[in-house]
Amino acid sequence: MIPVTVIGGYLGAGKTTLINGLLSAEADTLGRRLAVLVNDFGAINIDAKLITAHDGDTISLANGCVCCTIADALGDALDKVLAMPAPPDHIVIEASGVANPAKIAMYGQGWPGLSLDAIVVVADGETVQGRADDKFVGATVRQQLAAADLLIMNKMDLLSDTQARAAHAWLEQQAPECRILAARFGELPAAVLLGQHAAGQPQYTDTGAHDDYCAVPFKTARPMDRTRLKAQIATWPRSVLRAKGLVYLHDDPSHAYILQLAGNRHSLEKGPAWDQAGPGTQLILIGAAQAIDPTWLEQSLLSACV
Amino acid sequence: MARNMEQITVYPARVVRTMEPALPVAEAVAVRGSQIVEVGSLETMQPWLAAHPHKIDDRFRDHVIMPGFIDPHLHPSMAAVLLPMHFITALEWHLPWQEVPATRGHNEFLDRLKAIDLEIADPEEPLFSWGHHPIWHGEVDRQTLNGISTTRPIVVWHRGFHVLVVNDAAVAWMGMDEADGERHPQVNMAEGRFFETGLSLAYRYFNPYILAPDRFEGGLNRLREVVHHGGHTTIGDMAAGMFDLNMEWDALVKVLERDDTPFRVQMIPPGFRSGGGAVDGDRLIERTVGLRQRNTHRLRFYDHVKLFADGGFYAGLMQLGPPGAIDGEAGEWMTPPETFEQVARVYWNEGFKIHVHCTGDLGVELALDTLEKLQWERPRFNHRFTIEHFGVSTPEQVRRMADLGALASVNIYYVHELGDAFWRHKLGHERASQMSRLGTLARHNVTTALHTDFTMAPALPLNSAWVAATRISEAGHVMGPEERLTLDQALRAITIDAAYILGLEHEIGSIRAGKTADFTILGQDPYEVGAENLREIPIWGTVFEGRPFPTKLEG
Repeated sequence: MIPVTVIGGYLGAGKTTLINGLLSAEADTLGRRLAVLVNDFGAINIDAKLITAHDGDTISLANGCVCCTIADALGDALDKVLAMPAPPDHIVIEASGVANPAKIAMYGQGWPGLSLDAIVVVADGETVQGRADDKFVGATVRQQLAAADLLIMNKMDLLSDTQARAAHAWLEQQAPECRILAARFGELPAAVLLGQHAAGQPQYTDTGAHDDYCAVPFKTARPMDRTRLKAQIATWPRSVLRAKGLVYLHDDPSHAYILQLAGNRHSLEKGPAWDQAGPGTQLILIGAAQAIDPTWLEQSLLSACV
Repeated sequence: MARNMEQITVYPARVVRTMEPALPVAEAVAVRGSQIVEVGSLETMQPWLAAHPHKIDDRFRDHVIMPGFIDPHLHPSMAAVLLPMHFITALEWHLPWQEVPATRGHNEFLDRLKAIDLEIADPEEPLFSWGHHPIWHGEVDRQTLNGISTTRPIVVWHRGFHVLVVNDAAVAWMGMDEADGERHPQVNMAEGRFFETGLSLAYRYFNPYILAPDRFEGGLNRLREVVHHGGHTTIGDMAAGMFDLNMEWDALVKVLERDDTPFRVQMIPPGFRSGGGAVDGDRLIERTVGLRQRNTHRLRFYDHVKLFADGGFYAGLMQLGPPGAIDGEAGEWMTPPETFEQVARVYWNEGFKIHVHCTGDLGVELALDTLEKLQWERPRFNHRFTIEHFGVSTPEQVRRMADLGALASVNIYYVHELGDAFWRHKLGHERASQMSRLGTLARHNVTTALHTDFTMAPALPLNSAWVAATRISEAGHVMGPEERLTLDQALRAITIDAAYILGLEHEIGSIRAGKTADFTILGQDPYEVGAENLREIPIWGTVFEGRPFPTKLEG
């Protein structure tokens, strides 16, 4: 199944800039081919570097009127992407500025061939508090923030340190469970925004130019207890943004289980049988460089082993 | 001139209700070609008759002639999807091909479904029913529907379109992988239930069937009958191209642009289709103006455009101001407020007549804030900025509408069908009883039309006028008596004032010399039978552009 990342947030928060960053020539998407569905502009932009352009396809998402959804433009667009001769490795949907991203994310939770990676919500650090009090859109903005798995406080270049701290504190109040990342121009590594490569084997160990983030690899041949692992994950600090990899479970030693974590959202799903190399847990965790404690995380994971 | 040699036809009637205050009641109307030459009595029209060949046509001697009814806001394409379905509804529906009785009670619903299953000859044909409502019919699920049939695909569609339920045979017919439904948060595969966003997954499999050209055209043919039987001679398609403009246009021209279609359709296109993003004004104008090149005799685009503020009323997605909804649910914006203003400015500055879908009072507030800003920047008179639907509003907003020159096109059926439900579950009594506040509009002289948003309400103008003048809910409560219209105001709202909303008041909407000869022919006089009996008045048929069109029941 192709993972879907939904990028939400109010008008002007920087969603498009963030997505353009992912599509730019410099972006390291870890070898993935991305398809981007931009519903604000009524166009499907397929990553030009990797996939032949599909001009002329348009989508327009009708918010709010159930009868209009009989003509399901986003569903049609997703089907077109899925039907391409070489389907992409990852789909990014830019939600409309007034959409509830949790609703768009439902496409990753039941549409044939798609799985939900995460809901990433971008907030304009400078204006988000004012918007949240706006008589027209206040409720919409708060709903968007509450839907986030990863919350990006963008436009940090426009904020003084004091303002940034205040904005961060305010966002924490709005989404107490959520991972909040600071960014300028929506610049964040693809591994943070989209997670690891879908193929299963962790490949990403280098955060490159992004000193703010680091990757923590973990490996063990000991089987893990499912319940204890879940309990440990629940204790991880918010500085852990992403985790992905294969898990060797005590209760089903013949199959690999795929762990995916994006902010608050995580899943542990049955994967293929272990190959000839034999079973063994292999994970990559990605976190905020200043805050993450690799030793603590390693201990946490080891304590889930049988 | 050949045109003037055409014979005049005089229709004497029991009474002609012209809806012209200068001459409200007459005895006969004289028509030449598609035009009215005089309304009055046989005596007063003698100079015309003496000067030109004429005949007296007595067929309406015992009938009442009114201006052709106008519904300025309905959705032919949505109707084309719905009308091929089997109606099983809590309230009765009068359809030209069928009287749909009120079905209430769980067993009664299932009995009706079983009866329809037995009526359909082809055992493979899917059975789509519409109108289910748990309040009336209890819950049905996959097992219940398996009890109706294990072989025929059955799809039970909720009255408000936001839930549908299928049986095993339907799941098999759809060809969907049940695992997809099982992992969807808004699908319950065990119960066969798809709701809210889960509907998209069902539509994925249904659409090739329900939007197939043959079925869609069949649905439009039924729409054509519905519109005729309701007594309409003009309707507005208030979001032309809601599914796919080219597909719909081809079907509309094929089915409606025929010599025997007794009505015209004003096509009002959406001014902007997506959720936000950049607004390219020149391109919007070019595209919207370009649509007029398609115009045919009956199907016409004008300088009207539709914009959307907040979400659907039946879906409960209206944007409410304080104190919000009882259930605490937030509404939705269909267009971001900033984008709404940008798009409205583009059309305002080009002189367009803007219609805004507003269901909640916050939606109305956005539309009026925007209108006020545009009036400040570039004042316009006679701009016909129209609030469409007008579910929840405040009295102050009506006053502001009057100040700003805004008009209203109101779905009054909300009061009848949703009044009790919204009283108990959504708004409380005070606001639910004042939904669609027509009385306040009338007190502020805001020109107001009634519409049905068909298929959201039955496309029966006399039924709309009945609700407007009585405000009787489906449970029999009078909801907000101060917001009733008088009988005359209600009838104006389906004739001359509806014509004004569409910018066609100089051609249609009343009976006077020079206007188009569009009439609705009634079996009784609305002014005699009174408001409470309006919806019972038999409709003989219509006269469209001078030609009589009896309904099938009459013919």
